[in-house]
Amino acid sequence: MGKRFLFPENETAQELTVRSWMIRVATVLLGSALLLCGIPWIGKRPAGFYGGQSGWIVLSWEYVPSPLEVEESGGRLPHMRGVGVRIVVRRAAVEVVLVRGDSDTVYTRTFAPRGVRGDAAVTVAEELPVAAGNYRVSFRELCDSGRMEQSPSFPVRLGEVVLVELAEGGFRLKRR
Amino acid sequence: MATNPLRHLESLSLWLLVLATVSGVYVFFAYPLSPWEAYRAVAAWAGVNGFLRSVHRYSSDWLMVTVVLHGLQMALEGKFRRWVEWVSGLLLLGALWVVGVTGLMLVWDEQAQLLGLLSVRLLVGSGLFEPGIARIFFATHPEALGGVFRILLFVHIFLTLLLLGGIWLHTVRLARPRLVPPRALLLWSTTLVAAMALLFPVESGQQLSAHILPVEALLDPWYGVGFLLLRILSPTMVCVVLGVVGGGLLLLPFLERRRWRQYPQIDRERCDACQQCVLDCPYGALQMREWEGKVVAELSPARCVECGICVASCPERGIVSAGVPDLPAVRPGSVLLLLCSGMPLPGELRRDPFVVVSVPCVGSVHADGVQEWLRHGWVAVVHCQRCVYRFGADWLRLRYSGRRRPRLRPGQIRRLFIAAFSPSVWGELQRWVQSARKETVHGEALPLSRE
Repeated sequence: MGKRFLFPENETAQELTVRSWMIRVATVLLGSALLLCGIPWIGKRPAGFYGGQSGWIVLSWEYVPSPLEVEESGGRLPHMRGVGVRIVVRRAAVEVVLVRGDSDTVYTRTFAPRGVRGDAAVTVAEELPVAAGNYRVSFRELCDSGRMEQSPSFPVRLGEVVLVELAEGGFRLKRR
Repeated sequence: MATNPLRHLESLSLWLLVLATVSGVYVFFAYPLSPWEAYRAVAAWAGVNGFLRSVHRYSSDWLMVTVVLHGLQMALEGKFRRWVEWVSGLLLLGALWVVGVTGLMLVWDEQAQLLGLLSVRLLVGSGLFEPGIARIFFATHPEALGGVFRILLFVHIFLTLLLLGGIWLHTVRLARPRLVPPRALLLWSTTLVAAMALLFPVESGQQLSAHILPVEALLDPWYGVGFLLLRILSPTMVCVVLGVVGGGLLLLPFLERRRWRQYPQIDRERCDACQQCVLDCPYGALQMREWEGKVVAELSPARCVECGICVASCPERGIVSAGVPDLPAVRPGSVLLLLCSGMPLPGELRRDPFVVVSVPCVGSVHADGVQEWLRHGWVAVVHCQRCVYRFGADWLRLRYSGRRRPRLRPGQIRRLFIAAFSPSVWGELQRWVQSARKETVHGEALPLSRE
């Protein structure tokens, strides 16, 4: 009978009770210690989402493209814009290209202006995993005499994140 | 074992929510309502503020653990069939997750930025938002961040209030919901959270900066575990996985419902309106209704979980259920062994002198049948440590000890063995049977009925 049970047959009920209490106390202490250390310790584990097998180029900027179509406001009511104010109806799309080395295009995308009529700004926000190497980012408005910008070549190493922003004077790079 | 936290996960969760809410209300009053001041202020908190910030964080972390365990427990016990509780529970879990993530983001440190970027990846991956919203966490515009700050603060507080309201919906259909844990458990959990807060005070990471992306930041896994999927799957795939899993879990009660129809039948002619079944049902599935000029019990199938506890609660034996079989004919000198279904039983207990009857809940075995067995043999009852159907074991003990209707008549009560399942219970049972049979020959008293 005793083989498959925890306690040998010849133990008395009192011994069983004492042993049972010891197990309970040990369980409470062990459980408390695990919770006490486990919850804070696990909560302090770092996690990386940008590192590892690739480098990262993050493109992030907002740009108001050149107007393609403009109309004059004809509103006459007092709460509307005055007559003769020039309102942009449509703006140009912009194209962003990422090139590795001299001519290896790894990313290209056309961004349309936001808004129902396509008359608002363009928002570029992309996280691109890339192989190690030298890169250039270029930007151009898809219209006649639109703005064009090209970044100088910059290196990206594995596990590195390069944040690329477009400012007044051209591209700005930030690394980590 | 009455204070085993695994037996009180629901009330323990509620208590941890109270701790998190109370400490949260306190830190809210010390929290500057501006994202640019929030980081500096929170990072500098010390003394009571720092202690309560840590209490807020650790009680929330522990709360997520107990809530998930409670959900798993309910799923394994088949409670997902009660769709209102199951669906509301899943929605509460989702709300708790959002409350936790927004709370972590309100610190405005590296982790907040990382969580923001990962949340944006998921939102964009779901196809509901355009990628441009990621700029909120890349950009340096104070206005943009200020807007997000207000939204996050609102969501964090509003969803917390919604959680408290949702708990009412989650428990409203339970009879006598256990909302407060036993005092020992309450003290233990409070002490443990306070000890965590004192020994490991929570600290902020580096300040959120649009110029420095969080290449490697702390990520609270209790709320951030869902984001870890983003390391192996694309955001769209994570959304698909979460959608399929979440949708499947929400639909579970409706998919399983069709083959779950063994509701108890009430013999209205026998019902004498004593209301014992109404009092005993742990799920509020029985009410008294008027029928042909008299008041009788009526079952609400939507609430019934087929535990069979009502079968044993009727003194007139007016309730039967296909899921609760009649006891076998009495075999003099044998031991009737009543078990809750699913218990692992050693082979030697399946043989003579044992006659094994397995039922959904031992609380469904009527005292009359047990009485018959006790006249000519012995009865042993082994119930679950934590009653799957809430009150089955409690009612059984009260009925068999003559303290609740329908009662076991006194006299043969010493031929009865009742124990909660434990690894040692089968050994104790065999020892009891040996001594019981021996001592009966000598006409001595028979012992042993333990909690």
